[in-house]
Amino acid sequence: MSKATQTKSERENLCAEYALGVLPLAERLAFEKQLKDDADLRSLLEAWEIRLAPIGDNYKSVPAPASILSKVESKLFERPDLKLSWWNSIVLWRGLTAGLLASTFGLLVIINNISSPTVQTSPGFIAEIKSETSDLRVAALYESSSQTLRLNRISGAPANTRAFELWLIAGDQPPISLGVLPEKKEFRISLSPELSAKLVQNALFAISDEPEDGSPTGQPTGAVLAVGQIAKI
Amino acid sequence: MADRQAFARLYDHTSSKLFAVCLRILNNRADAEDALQEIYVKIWKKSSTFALSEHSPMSWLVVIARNHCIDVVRARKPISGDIEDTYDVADDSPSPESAAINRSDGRRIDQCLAELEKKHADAVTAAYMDGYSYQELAEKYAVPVNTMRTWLRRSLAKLKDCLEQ
Repeated sequence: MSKATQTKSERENLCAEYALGVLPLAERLAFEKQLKDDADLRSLLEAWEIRLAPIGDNYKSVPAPASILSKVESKLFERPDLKLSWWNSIVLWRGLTAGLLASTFGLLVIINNISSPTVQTSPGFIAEIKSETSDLRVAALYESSSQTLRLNRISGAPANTRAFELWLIAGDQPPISLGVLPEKKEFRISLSPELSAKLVQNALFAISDEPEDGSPTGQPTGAVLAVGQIAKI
Repeated sequence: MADRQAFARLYDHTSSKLFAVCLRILNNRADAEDALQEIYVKIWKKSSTFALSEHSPMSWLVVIARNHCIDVVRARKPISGDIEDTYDVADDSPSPESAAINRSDGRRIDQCLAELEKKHADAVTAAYMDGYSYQELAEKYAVPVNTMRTWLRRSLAKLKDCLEQ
């Protein structure tokens, strides 16, 4: 089944059934495969997941055996292939804390816990640089302590013989090139102190479509494909 | 170390909820413990994508946990002839969830479920909470699979309309 041969209501039904969980294994697997390169299907599914999520509030908590945490930790932190940097989790963690506080799970103790050494010593900025018209999505996190910008291209690839170039736009100054995005998805850029100083709240990141070696003029020459506001963490 | 600490806090605040999901759907403690480990590995690997989703954090975690458990339970070999023992085929007493729905404590989802025919609402809730397949629900309610599919598709469409009102 592909997007072309499915009607809108078939796609809607499949998403609803997958989110509810009732499909047999073969249909689940086929759907999961289709999800991988069908962004529209992913957003239909997410809408269904969110719609049905309140039913899950009925799951009554059951304490998990203490031994599980250490087993998972050894899987996660003693295997280099799974090792991820803390910023991958920090956005989730921050969101979770806010979510917990806003819900019946609210525990004041979390407020104290969130001032972890990591958060205290690495204040910075995050941004989601997202296209309105394509699947281009890049997550950015700037760590003040190391003046490093970490980027994760979650989806989207440049057209053949073209490249994505990243720009910092501070106030009404002209865009400053931060370079062409490499092929690999996760990468980091060290910023000079001058550039770091420009990374103030309300600055913007933008990604433009450029020749493979980047803009020849030092200013964007192709279409601006995606923008993202920088927010303090 | 920061990773480990962040992870331990995430685990502390979420594992009892996710373990409940595993136990409920897998209905077996050893399988639930294995599943919980795999779910946290998935959560950790996927955590960078969370920032870009519209989910609340807990609902995102529950979705990952449910999907994992349902994949596990669907891949299990069917236990032939055991259906009668496993499911209360003729049990008409409301489940705790449908009892909650009948109380209608003001949540929109419960109000919308209450607008469905009772057995349809029960089937939707049982599917979500217990991870039942169409096949299992059909057996539980003693109707053909296609009938169950029609029930649930209609119910889901009605739910959507109601929730969007």
